[in-house]
Amino acid sequence: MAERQVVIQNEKGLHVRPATAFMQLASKYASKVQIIKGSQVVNGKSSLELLMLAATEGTALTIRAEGADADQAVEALAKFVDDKFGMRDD
Amino acid sequence: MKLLDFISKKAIIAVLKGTDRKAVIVELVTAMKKANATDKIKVDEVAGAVLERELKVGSTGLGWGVAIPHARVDAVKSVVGVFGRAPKAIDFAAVDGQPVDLFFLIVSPESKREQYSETLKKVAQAIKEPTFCKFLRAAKTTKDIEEVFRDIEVMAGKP
Repeated sequence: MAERQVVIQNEKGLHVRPATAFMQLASKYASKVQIIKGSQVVNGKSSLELLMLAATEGTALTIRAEGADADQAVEALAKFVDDKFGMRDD
Repeated sequence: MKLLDFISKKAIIAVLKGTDRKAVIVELVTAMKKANATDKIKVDEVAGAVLERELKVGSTGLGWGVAIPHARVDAVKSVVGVFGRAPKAIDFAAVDGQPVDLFFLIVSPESKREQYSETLKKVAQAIKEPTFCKFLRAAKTTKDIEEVFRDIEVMAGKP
């Protein structure tokens, strides 16, 4: 299992397009991916569940992965969050 | 927060006339303006901005035939939603490649980011409820759609 804490960097937070992009990236890994916000745990491969976190700018989240490629998944997903989901103007 | 807190009865379109992305977005924005009864909203400008972001930044087609286009409009005081249903699903470049027939346009001012996130959470919760989209597609009138919005609060349990 691999785990890392991240903070949402983009202004509008984890909204529709970022959630969709995150889900797409997470789905490339075989590992189970979970995103944790306080007591809320959601499936990182579901855009709807990610939206249910209502994570705004500055929100701390934990990315957790379990499986053969867990380390790579956490690494890539944490970088993706730091990189504002690859959305420069969002 | 409830769906009907931000989607007013006037902002429910049971039958969208548009058959492409642009036409549907213009219809949704026009309904948003009507529901708000304000001249400050310029339909062409808002619809243009929504469409541009759909094309350049990425589609808000989430899958399951649902899209949640969004625009920042500072002329509105709080988060405003419009629901539109297309009789025949249209291509919206959704993430799952499926055409879209259920549209939730959400417009919010810059100052209400938190409220926007809560709104998205609410819509996502509703869509996740398996019967929600099914009932929305089966609803005959605007009033029926309103009922589905009201019922989801019971189905989805606690907010």
